Amino acid sequence: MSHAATKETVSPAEEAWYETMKQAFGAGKGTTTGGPPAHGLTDRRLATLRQTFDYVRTQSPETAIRPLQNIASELAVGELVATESGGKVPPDAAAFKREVDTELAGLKSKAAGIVAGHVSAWQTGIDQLPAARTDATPREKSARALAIQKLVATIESGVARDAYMLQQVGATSDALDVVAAMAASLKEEYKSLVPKRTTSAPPTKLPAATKPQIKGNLTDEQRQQLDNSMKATQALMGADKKTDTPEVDKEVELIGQGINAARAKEAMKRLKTWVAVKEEYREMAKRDTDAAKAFMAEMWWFRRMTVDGTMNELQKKFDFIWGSVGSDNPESDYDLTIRTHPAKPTDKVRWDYQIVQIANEELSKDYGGAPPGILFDCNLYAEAIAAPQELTEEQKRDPAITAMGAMKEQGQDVGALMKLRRFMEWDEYEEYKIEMLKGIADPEDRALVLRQFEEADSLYFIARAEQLRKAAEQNPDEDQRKKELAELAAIPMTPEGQKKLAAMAEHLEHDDARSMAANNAIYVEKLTGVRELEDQYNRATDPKEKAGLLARLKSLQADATFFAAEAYHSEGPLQHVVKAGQSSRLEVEGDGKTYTAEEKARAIEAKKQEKLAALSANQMLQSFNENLGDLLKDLRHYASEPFPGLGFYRSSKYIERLCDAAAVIAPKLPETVQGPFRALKIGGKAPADVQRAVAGLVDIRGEKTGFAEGPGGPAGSEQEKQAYAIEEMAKIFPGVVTLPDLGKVLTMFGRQVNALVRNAITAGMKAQDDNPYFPKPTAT
Amino acid sequence: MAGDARTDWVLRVLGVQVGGAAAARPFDEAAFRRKFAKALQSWRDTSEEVEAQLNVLRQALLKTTDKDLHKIAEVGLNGLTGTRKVGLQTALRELAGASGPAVITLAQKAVSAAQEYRGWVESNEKVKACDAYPHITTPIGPTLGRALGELADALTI
Repeated sequence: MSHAATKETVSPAEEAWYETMKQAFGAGKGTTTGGPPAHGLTDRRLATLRQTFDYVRTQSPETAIRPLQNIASELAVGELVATESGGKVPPDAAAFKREVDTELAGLKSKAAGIVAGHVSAWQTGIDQLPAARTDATPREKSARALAIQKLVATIESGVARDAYMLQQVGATSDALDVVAAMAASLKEEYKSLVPKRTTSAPPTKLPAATKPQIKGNLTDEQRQQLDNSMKATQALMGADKKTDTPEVDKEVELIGQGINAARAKEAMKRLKTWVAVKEEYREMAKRDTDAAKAFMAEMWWFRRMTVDGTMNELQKKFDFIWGSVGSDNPESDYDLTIRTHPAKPTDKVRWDYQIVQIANEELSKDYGGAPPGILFDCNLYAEAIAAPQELTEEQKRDPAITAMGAMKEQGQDVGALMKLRRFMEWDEYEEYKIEMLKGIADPEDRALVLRQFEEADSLYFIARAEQLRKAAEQNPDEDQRKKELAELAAIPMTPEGQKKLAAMAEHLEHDDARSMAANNAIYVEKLTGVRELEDQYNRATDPKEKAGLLARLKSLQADATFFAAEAYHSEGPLQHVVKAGQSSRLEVEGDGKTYTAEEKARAIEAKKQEKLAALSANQMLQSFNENLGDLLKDLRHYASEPFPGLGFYRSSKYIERLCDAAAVIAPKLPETVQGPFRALKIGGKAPADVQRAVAGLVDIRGEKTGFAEGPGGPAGSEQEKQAYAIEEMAKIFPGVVTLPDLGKVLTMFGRQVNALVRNAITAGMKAQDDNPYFPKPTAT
Repeated sequence: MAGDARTDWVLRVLGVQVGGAAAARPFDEAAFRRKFAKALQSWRDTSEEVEAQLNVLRQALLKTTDKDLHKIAEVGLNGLTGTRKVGLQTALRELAGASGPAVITLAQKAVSAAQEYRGWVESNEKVKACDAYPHITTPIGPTLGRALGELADALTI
């Protein structure tokens, strides 16, 4: 057979080769292409990438480059897979890839100019810092310190992003190095500005009874009765049992005798918020320390009397379990949980959240409707837990039921990740996600974890939109209400719209009362849906249906909890911190036995360990992530302070808890994985060492220890506490000078923990549609 | 989980070699990255040489008037290395982007992909047919096979 070469003469050897090729490639049998094209880019994945791309384009170039590269890389692999298997990616995917590549190329070409602009702006910022005079007053020093702290944080994160961008385009910038060196030098100056300790002794132990002494007309015997009554009630609360209403009545009556309740109520009406109450205390303390302490003590007892009295009356009427496991510390909030639905329901009150609603109204009614979270720093949560499903061994093996269990785990995980997202900027969250995913080896696991992170991000934006809408609807000024609603309705469904939404939500958060009122209303609305589902769950008899309803129930619950003030979003931290940690103490304290201090500590620890042993690695990862989120929240909250001491000791509680979560996770991982996990370090130190080292800060935070007031009164003591916190933090992490430094160290640890733990536990979070149903085709 | 299965799970999922000499020897990620970069460059060079050879074959097929040979030139040669090359490229890309313990797992995956690809390229009939070209200068099977062997050696931890 001749192959009719047109341009050159074909040799017999070539002729034979043509034939060989036709035979080998099966010419004429339709198999020359070697199978159908595949590219692995599903429509859903492409839509997600497109959405991310649209959002990324609205970000600054140095922020956009990392996620853009990620998108480009995923599309490039898709194209490679397609072409190597003899096919093509779909036209829309190819067009999208071109668009991404163009954007990335444009960005790279502009990189040097962008960096030059940043450097110039930062240098202007340095030039405009408040003057550094040697004879500066403390106020001037504080102003310079605050300005340096903010500028250095901006420059450090900016330099890191710009350096990454330049590295990607193979460029360097001497100016960038210079400005980084200037920032380092400013940081050294900042270190010299932070307040130093005025004493050298460690903090001393404060009296164990942290609740303020009750003054007034109580006899010693009555004081003892009040103390016993409160202990008995707390023990019942710690054990999730119903409080004894006559006992609470007695407590309320004794408090009423011990304080001037009318005076306290007037003060509350005048001051309107608990923040203002504490502010009043601080102002008074500057003039008269004793009078200030008496005022704060009276307000503390008044809050207790009002809240406990209200809850006790509701309990008598509706018969339910409620409680608080918080601290008696005067600085602490007083959060309550409603733990069961009413045993004596009425037509209108059937569920726990309806009790929350009534209690909120009752507590607010004498004070112009301000929510109790603002008035008394008292937040109420509906936490009646659906009865756990009891499954036979056969049912436990049922794929449908295990899939539902996996979905429940996913829902809880997303809830915990929403907390992280809430207290990270978009680019911080994006970088955290990208870097963490690099540590996950299995592509299917990586895809699932990616989906969890993306879902948390989407839900976060949806929640923000809901908050804004509710706050607008609640605006009492009709014109303003209409204007705000119209403004919201006009926000386009575009990345620019998303950015505007985020900015508006942040603005709303600065208005505590409005933000809390909106959140409380949404929380109650969401719980209506949760409880309707719970009703269905309780009535269902089919185990599969029950498992499915439970999975949805847990996800909706996490969704609702986003709106509960300062609440945990998932089950893990609730079980770890509240049930195992705080409740164990209350249970032991109220068990009627007499302990020595050592015996009591041992009994509490034994109870705690017993509870922790029952928790899963996934639940502990939820606790880890939520405590990391709470830490970031505190660091953000105290960023406006000139010095980091306050933020260091206020956030120490979360450092301790996330280290504890890491320690509890370790033995729950497969035995042989524990080595690598235990080798993880926080800023070069073992988590257990960090946990021990921050204990001193946690103690001063909880006022277990402190410093003598001296001539400066409470303000002097506070200054010494902050100086101590700075000194201690420098010992724990020598490189940590500012709050953002601390955030970086712990975020890095968070990434490593998530990568390692998710490698080990993600299989348990895979629902049926995450696992390949059909076996993978055998490669040809 | 039995001991072996557990050890296998740890190696597969977390990339940690348990027991034996490997466990005692700490993994030097920086040194591995240097070796990886060198091996990757060498692999890319070889791939380009093979690609050039395939282009020669493509031209040889296209100079005929035979539609089947044209189809082989246009489509068949593109898909010649099939899913193996894709699997290896993806594994190498993932390895390049990984850090920490995942590097060990992904290196193992890349080694497996390279070995599987080598076994296939050295025995595949289509590759052998290509190498039967009378004017061949870079035989595809042996060239790729040798490069893949070197790549697998370099990535073995």
